[in-house]
Amino acid sequence: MTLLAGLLIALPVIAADTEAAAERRIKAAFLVKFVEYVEWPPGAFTGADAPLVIGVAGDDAMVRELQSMVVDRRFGERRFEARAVVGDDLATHPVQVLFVAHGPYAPSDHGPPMLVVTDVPSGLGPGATLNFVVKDGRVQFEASLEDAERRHLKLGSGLLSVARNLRRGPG
Amino acid sequence: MRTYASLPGCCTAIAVAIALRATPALSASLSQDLTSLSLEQLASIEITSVSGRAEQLSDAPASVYVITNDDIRRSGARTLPEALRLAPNLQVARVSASSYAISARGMNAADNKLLVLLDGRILYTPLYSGVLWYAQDVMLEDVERIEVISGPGSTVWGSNAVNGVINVITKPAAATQGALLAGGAGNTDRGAEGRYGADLGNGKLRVYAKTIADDRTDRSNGTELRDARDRSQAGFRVDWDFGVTLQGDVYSGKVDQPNRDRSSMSGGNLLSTWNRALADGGNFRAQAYFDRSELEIPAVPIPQVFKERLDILDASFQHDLPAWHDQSISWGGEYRHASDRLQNVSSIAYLPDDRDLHWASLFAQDRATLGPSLDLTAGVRLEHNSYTGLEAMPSLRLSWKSQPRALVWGEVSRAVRTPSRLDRDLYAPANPPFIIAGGPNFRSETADVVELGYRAQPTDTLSYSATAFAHRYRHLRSVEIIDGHFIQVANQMYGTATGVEGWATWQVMPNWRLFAGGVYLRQRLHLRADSTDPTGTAAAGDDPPAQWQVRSSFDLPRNVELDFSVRHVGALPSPEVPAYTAVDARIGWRVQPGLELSVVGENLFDPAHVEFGSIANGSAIPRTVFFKVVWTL
Repeated sequence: MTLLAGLLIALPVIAADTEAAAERRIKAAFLVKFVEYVEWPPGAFTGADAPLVIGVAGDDAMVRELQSMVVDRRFGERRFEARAVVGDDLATHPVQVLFVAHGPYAPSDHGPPMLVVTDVPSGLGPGATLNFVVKDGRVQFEASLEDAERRHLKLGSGLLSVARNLRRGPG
Repeated sequence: MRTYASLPGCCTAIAVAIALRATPALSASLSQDLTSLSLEQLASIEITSVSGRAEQLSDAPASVYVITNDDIRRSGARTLPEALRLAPNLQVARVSASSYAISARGMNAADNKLLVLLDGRILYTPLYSGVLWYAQDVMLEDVERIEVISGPGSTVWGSNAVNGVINVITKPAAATQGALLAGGAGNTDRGAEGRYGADLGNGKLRVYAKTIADDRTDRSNGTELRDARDRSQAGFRVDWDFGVTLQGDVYSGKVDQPNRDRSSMSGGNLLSTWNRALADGGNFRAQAYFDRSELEIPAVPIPQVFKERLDILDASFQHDLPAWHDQSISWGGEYRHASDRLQNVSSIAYLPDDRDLHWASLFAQDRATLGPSLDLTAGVRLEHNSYTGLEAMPSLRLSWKSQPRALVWGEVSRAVRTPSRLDRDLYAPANPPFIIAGGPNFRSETADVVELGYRAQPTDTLSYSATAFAHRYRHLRSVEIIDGHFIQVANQMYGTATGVEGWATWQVMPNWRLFAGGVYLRQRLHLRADSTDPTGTAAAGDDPPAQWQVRSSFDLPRNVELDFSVRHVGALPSPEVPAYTAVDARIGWRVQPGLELSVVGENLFDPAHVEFGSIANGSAIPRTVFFKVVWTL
């Protein structure tokens, strides 16, 4: 009986499987998968066993989605972490992946070595390495090699070949 | 009188059907761990298919049920007709090892009022307006979704869409990159298939091949029938970045026949689609295809063989104009040409042996926004065919979004089934004096249909749809005794079909989904007072008054899936077939990313049951167990 009562209480708060939630889940999976195709420069992590941190600006539901997705997940020897980015705490608490949920990225400095992923329907803006676009009901992404170079990130060919739109450097 | 009795069966004899058992495979099971997918696979997932489709479809003012790729995979279905059992608004009856009778809203014995399209290619044959299910197959892993619309769709889709439209839509090649190997075996059937998808630089390609074999079935009393079948198919699809798709298939198969020979069928098709978003906000789509099918059926008297070579060429376009002052207008046209070449047998013949048929049509439809949540759609298709000339298929639909997540809709429409060769050209014997002398005056059958539907998603976890319908049929096919000594095909039957159909999906918990759906049908068919039809109305309607199904899908820990379904089909009136209830179960285990094992048991609590036709001589569909391995790399 206790179990049943517990279930009944829990039911209303169980995450709804709406379209927005589905889209968020797919984007979260992308964020987790992207790291397999990125090479960070030395110094991007605070230590050899420091976790790989995915920061999220402006979408707490995405933070929860990522947190449930990265439980027990490892990137080489590193653990995964997902956290909300509030204000300008990146300087003191660096992240390796930054997801900006709303609006274009407004860089406060000139490119720490982090993968900046935006979600701007009109396309890649300045300061964004990758950008999600929803096309024909599917989540796709664009990539800026120019931005990756500025941040000293190497993007693997497996990622670039799937990108819908590839922006190369000014040269 | 023997001739009379065999006439309704002649379509079945020609349609000696055989369908196909494929082996489904892994697709993105969305309740599972998405991070096990590749970037490419993630990019190919349709968001709406994740959310359980209600969002996208809630605006469509029609009775539409969508079977997703995941639904097919979790059902364990291995053939297209078996996958169609998932649609609560279809009647699917397995006639033998590989032949099926499939319809919506009744008329299953006539087998001629459903329009089935595979990526836009029309599958019904102009020989008798039905689908030779054994000749049609698809790699089920590559099916993105199957849209099943019950009710008429003639305005948009053309003639034959009288009681329903089935749209089988395969995935774009971008969604089937990499390699897939699958194989399975069970107590009644076996299959193997492979697919490979590659990047061409300016587009994406996939190629596939599959082969299947079905064992013979037995009668209810245990005696053997000769209906075993094997079949192979291969095909490809290329989607170029500039908006053009080219796809094609070839197939070949054989089916055992009662007279100890085998019938054979083979064919191929090539289809190209060009889709272009116009600068003014409109959209233009053009499609053309060529479809050849060849059929050889050993006939009586032995050793004669009935042969058919049917070539179909079809070209169509549709232009969606940009919205203008609350009006959204679409228009389009289609031209279809069939060249039917027959080698008849002496006992029964389609005359002339060779016949060229054409269909040419234009349609226009306007969706007018009358208010913030009220839409009126009016449309008409004018179609010209070789037998009866011009036919009009109008429809009028009103839809009202009573709440953000609820839709009330109503439709009045007229659908038309234009004559097939069976209706006009059938003679027996092949030379005079004839006992059956064609149907020189056969005209199109029509259905005037009224529908009222309600669809809602009251919470994020619950959605449902209910539709009430009334069809008034006129000029249905009958066979008339003329002057007391020969028969002609005519239109002396009429009738009505009324009923309700509905379904609901409830995501009870994130890892547990329940589905229930069913149809209640009341069909009344009559012969006109001056009809001399000796076979009665059974030749058209042999449908269950009610059917329902319940399905449960669990996602268990350790990547294990558990699915159950219970399906009940009411008794058929004539020929009498008792009601049956089939219970199916499937366990699937994703051992590691890319490797899935599953076992499905069908008809678990019933050794065998007849689903259609003669209870004494028909196939008793047995209990089956099927093991399957799917490997993606």
